[in-house]
Amino acid sequence: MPSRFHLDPHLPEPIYRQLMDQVRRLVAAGQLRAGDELPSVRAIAATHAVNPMTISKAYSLLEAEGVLQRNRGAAMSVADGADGGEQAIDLLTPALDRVVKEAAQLGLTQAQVIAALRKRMGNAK
Amino acid sequence: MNDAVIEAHWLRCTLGDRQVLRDVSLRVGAGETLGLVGRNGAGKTTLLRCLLGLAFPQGGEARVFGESATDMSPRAKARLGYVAQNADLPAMHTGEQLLALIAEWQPRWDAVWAAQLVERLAVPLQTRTEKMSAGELQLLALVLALGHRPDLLVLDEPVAALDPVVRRAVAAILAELQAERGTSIVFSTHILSDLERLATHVAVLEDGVLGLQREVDALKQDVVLCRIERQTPLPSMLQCAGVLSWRLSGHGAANALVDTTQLPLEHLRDEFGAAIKARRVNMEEFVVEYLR
Amino acid sequence: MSSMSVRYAWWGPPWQIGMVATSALLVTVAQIGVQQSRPAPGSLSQLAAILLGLAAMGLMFWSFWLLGRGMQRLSAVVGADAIRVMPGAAHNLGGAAWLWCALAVAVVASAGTAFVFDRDGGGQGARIGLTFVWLACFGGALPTSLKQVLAVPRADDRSWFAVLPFIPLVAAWQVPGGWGVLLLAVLVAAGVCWQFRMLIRRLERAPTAGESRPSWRRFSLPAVKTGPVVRALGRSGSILLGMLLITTAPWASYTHDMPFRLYILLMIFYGNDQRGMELAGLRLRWLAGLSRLQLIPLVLRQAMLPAATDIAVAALAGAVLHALGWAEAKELSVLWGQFVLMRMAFMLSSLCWIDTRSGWRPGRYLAYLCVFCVIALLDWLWGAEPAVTALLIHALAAVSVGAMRWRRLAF
Repeated sequence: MPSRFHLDPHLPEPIYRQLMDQVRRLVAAGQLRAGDELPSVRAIAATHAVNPMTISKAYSLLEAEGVLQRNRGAAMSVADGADGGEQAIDLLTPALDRVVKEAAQLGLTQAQVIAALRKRMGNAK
Repeated sequence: MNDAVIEAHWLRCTLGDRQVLRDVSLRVGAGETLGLVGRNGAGKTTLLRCLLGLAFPQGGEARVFGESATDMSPRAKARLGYVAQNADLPAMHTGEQLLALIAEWQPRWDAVWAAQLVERLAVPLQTRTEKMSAGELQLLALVLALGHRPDLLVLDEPVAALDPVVRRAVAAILAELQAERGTSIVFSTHILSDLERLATHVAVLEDGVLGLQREVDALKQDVVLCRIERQTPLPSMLQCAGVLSWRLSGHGAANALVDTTQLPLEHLRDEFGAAIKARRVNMEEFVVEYLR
Repeated sequence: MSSMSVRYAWWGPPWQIGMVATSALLVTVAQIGVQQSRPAPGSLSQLAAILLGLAAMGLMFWSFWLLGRGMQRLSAVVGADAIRVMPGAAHNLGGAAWLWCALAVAVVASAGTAFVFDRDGGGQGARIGLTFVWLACFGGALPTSLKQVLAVPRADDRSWFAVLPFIPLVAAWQVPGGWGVLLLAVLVAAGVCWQFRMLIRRLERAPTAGESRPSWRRFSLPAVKTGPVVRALGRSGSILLGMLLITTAPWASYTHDMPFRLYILLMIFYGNDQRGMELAGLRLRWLAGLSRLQLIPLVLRQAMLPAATDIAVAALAGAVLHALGWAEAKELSVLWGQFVLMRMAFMLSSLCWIDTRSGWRPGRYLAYLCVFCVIALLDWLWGAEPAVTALLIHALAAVSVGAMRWRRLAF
């Protein structure tokens, strides 16, 4: 089964964080809906050849955040009400933070940055 | 923190007049994977052999499943798998003969699983060990160490002779075993390779001293590689809590690995009055910088 | 947890052990039976006795072959860390080793008995067989282990020890009635058992402080540095000692102990690895693309010179023995002729070695075989009797030496 996750152990980002971000993003984008079951820890560990404890850790943290819920047995599924727009914009925060920081370093004004952003988003459409 | 599967307390070992291990302590819990990193001759092999009771330390103690490593019961040995660095398998035997022999010795041997491993790793069964390549020997040694689904696996440079595709296959097999049995793994390597993906913990051995022992996730989050630059010269050495390594690179410039939980970067900036650029590193970059 | 029962996975199936033991018993009983009938020379009973003697030795050889394999495997296991940490390794191997020790004693005793009870009839067969076994077990092993114990740095220096194994053999032959040989056979078995015991202890023992690998070789002397003069003296000494053993021992009557004599000569050279080392260099050059023509001067210098020296030393040794009145001129000249032929055979075989890239060197054994046959032919021409028997024995010897080396059975 092709995995919908992309885990790269060579990135500075810890593997469990990569997985958490990707689950959150899929939920926010509506690609994973409430009640959808996630692959088992074992399946992800075997497919990506990563330590199963790392996967469990990501799932547990997502459960604590309320994104996932543990079903009977060990399977995890997307928690009720975990999808939603408010979370989606939250996911952009790190990227926006970086833009703000680098804009400051380069001495750009707010107007310049917003203009550039608008232009890009216009192009994207 | 769970019970230690394998642990060492203040291990000291001297070979000839060379002190190979100096007061090494470590512990690995159930399901954890410890990657033991160090340069050639740092003492990795000796440490692993001491951990298994194959070498006897002058001081300190190693314990496996709670038993003294030098006096392990057959019960403990039956839960253990070990692949030695040079895969020193007996000569004059084909892979098949060795598998049959070990199968008789391991009370928990799973012939079906062993056959699967042979197939997945393409281990030649009809070749005699002395005619196998280093890679084939290593794969055979791996199957011999895995066939009884051990609870603890000690691997000394296990993938050194393997090509990237097989390395990945080995990593996947180990991950499956861990998912199924919660096997703990201790592996040594001189550079983190594909097994990096399995490591939950990393320990760096330098000249017989365990310089650093961390959880991989914590390390990736907390430690940054800093480039420190200023007009005036910087000190050539820096011993300070939170600075894991310090290396001058040119006039008034240095690279440092900094643990930001112990030493916030602002403190470093204020201390030296220097510009600091920091970035996160992956394990390989970390190890290379640390051992440099 | 299953019990740690003794298993024989590496030691051959039990039927093999049973067959060796049963054959040993049968041969011993038959030997005694034939001896009771007092066979007349040339009778069928005597032929049967000879065949039985050879059968006893064949059995002994077989059992030692099995033991040798077992020993090699046991050593390999003791050395393999990955296997040492497995449950039951020590128990399994220890149990199997003891079983085989018992078998060794049984078979050796059978062969020894054959010799003692069959002195008149098949003694010769038993004697030849025992010589075979002795050389297979100790001809190679003793010099090598002595070399290790003394930490002699170069393989070349093994020639120092090459003739040492013959001294107990000669001594055993001197004891009348064959009891010395029986004693020797028992000693051989005891030695093998002792070696097993050491291996088993090594398996069971926990490693000592700082030991990278448990070792039972604890008596190493500091390495001895030897120069060319010392090595030349060592080789000359071994040649002299070998000739002395051949010519002065009363059992060494020319007709009956030909194979034994040839073996002594063979072993002198077996211990001499210099030739191989020199020619290993030659082989490299050959592989590096030098033509055969270009190799000739190298061969002459590196192979002929040592051969010529050895032959000269042998002649000198013969002259000394003759001057001392310890050997007759005719016997010495025959011996010297054999010596020259054998030395040449070694040189030729080494040249064959240059040609082959694989480990199996058929040319070498063909050279041995040819030389043995030529010697037998000369025996016949010189009127020595019984030449036909000698020829057969020589051919057998050459083939078995070749086979032993090929299968790496001499341990």
